[in-house]
Amino acid sequence: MGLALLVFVAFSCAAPPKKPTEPKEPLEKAKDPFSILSEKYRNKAMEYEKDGELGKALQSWEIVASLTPTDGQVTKKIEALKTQMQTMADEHFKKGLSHYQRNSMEAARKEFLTALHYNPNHTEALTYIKHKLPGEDYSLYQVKGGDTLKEIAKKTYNDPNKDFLIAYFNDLKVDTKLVPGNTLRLPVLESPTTKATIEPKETAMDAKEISADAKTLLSKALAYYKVKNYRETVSISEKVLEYDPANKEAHQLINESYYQMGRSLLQGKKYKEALDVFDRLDPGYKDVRESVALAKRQLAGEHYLRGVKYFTDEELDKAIKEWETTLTLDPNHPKAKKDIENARALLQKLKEFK
Amino acid sequence: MKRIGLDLRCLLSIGCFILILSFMGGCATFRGKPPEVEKPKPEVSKVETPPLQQVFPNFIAVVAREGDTFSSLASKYLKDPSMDWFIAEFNEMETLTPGQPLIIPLKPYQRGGLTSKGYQTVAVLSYHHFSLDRTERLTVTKSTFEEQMKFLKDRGYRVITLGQFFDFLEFKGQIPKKSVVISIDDGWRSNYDIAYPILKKYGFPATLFVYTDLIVGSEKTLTWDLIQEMANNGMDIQCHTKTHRNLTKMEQKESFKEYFEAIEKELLVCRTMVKKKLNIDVKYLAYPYGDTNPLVNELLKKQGYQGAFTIKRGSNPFFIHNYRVNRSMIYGDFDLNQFERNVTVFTEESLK
Repeated sequence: MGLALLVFVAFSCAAPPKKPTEPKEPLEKAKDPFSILSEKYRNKAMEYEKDGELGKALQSWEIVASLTPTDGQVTKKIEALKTQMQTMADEHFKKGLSHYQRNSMEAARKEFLTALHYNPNHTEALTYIKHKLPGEDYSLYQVKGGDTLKEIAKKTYNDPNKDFLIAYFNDLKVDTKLVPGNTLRLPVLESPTTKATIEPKETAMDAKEISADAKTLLSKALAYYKVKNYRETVSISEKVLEYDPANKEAHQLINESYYQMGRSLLQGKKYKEALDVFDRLDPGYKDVRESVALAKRQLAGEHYLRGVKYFTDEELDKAIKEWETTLTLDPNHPKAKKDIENARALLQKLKEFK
Repeated sequence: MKRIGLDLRCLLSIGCFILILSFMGGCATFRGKPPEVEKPKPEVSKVETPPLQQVFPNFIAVVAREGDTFSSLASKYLKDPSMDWFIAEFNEMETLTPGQPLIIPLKPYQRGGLTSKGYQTVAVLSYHHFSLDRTERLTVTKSTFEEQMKFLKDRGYRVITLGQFFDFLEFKGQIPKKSVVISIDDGWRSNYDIAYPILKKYGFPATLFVYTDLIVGSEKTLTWDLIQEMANNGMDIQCHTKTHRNLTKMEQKESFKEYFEAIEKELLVCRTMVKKKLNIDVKYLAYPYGDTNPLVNELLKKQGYQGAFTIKRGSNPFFIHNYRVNRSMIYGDFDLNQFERNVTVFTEESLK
C-alpha cells in the first residue's frame, strides 16, 4: 500500500514539472538575452535600411554579426552595405566637387555632407566642408628665384612695407634670403576699417533681429534724405550702422548726405563748415577733392583779407597769424608769404626803435 | 519473521509518509514559493555573480542588473559616469530595467550628429551682466537666469564644455543630441555673485571670457581671486582680449604696422595674464564686438588659439569655421520662448 502511495505521489508530483517543460525552449531563450539582443538589432537594421539610415543599419548588422557569428548571410549583408555606402559617398563627393568648382557653395555643402553621412571617414569631404567651403584665411605662395619679402608683399598686398607680415607668419626675419621653391603662408588682408567713434556693445548684434530694426530705420533715413533733411538722415543712418556695421545703404546715405551738406555750405560761402563736412568723406567720393581745394582757396582768401585789415589797423601780430593760416590753407597764395615777411620786418624795426 | 515482516511493512509505511510529505513540499516549492533557506543570502550571490556580458572590439553587450543605471554602466565600461547619454542614446532608451540586454558602444557612433534627415547643431549662449532685478538688453536678472537654467535641465539639454564642443566641431568626438554651451563675457562681479551659484546648483559647466584690463576688483568687477575660485569649481576661463578693442578696426592715425602690433598684443597679453594669474592655458577667444577678419584669424592660429567666437546668432553645425563660431546673445528682455528659439539642436535637410 505504501509503495502504491509512493508511486502515486511520485507520479502526481512528477507530472506538473513535465507540463512546463513543453514551453521550456522559450524559457531557455529568455536565459540567453544576447540572442534577443541580436534579434532586436536585426529588426532595427532592416528598419534603418528601409529609412535610408544606412550608417545606423550597418552598425546594427555589425552587432548582429558579432552576437551571431555563425550567420554567414549577415556577413554578406555587411559587405554589400559597406560597398553601397562607399559608392554613394564617392558619388556625392564628386557632385560636391563639381558644385564647388562652379562656385555653387550651398549645393556643394549638401553633397559633401551627404558623402560624410554615408562614409564618416571620407577625409576629402571633411576637408572641403570644414576648410575649403568657408574660405581659407591665407594663401600659399611658392618662392621664385630672386624673390624678396618686399617684392612678394608688393605683389600680394600692393604694399612692400607689409613684408613684416610675411616674415611674422613664416617665422622669418625681414631680411631673410628666400629659398626658391619654398612655400610661404600669406594671410588674406581685408582693409581694416577706421574706428570713428566708441562703439556700444550692441553694435554687433545678431543679423536677423537687426535686419528688421535696420530696415525700419533705413526707410526713415531715406524719407529724411528725400526732403533734404541731411542731418537727420545721417543721424538715423548711423543708428542703422550700430545694428549693422556693414550696411551699404546706410553708408551710401551718410556719404551722400555729407556731400550734399558740403556742397550747400560751399554755395553759401561757409567754407570752414564745408571743409568740416567734407572732412568726413573719402576724398575720392565724387568731386570731394576738388570741392575741398576750392573751399580751402576761398577760405585762404578770407583769412588773407582779414590779415590785411589787421595790418592797416597796425595789429601786425594778428595780421601775421591770419596770413600764416592763409598759407596753411593755400601754400601757393600769391601774396601772403611776401606780406608776412614785410610785417615781420616792420615788427623788428619797431622793436629796435623802442 | 512475521514480526520482522510486520515491522518492515510498518517501516515502509512510515517511510512512504515521510516521502509523501517531502514530495509535497517539493511540489509546493516548484509551484512558485521560493525556499526560505535561499532568502538570507541574495546580496552575497549578487556580488558574486559576474555580470552577463560579451565583449567585442567596438561594443560590449551587457544585461542590466538590479541597481544599474546608464551612469553606473558608463562609469564601469567607459570610465566616465557623465557619458550616460552615450549609452542611452545608442540604445534609444530612456530608462533601464534589470534583465534588459543592451549595447555599450565603445567609440563614437554618430560624429557630427549626421543623419539622413539633417545634422546636429549646438548653440553657444552668451551672457554679460546679471542683476537682482534690473533688466537691460545685456543684463539678465537672477530669476530669469535661474528660469533659463531650469528650462535647460527640465527639457533634457546637456550643457557641455568648450573642449567637448570643439571635439564635435573637429568631427572627432560625439556629444549629446541636445547639447548647449554657456558663456559669459567681460568679467563683471555679477558673474560671481549671481550666475556662478546658479550654474553650480544645476551642475552646468560654463566659460568666462575675460578681458584682462577689466579685472581690477572694483565694486563692479571681478578679482583674480574670485576667478580662481570659480575656475577651481568648474568654470572655464578663456580670453576676450586685453582691452576689449575691436580687432578689425584701425584707430585713427594708426599705421598698419602699429595696428597689427596692437592687436597682436591684445591676444598675447590676455593669454599670458590668464596663464600667470590662474595657470590656465587659454585655447579660445571671444572677439570683442564679435568682429573678426582673416588676418585676426591667422594671428590667433599663430598664437596657439584653437578657436574663437563671434556674436552672430545661430546654432553651430560641426562644419562651422573654428575661428568664426556663432554665439547667441541672451538679452535681458527675452522670455522663455525667445530663449528656446536660441537653443536649437538640429537642422533638417535631406542627406540621401
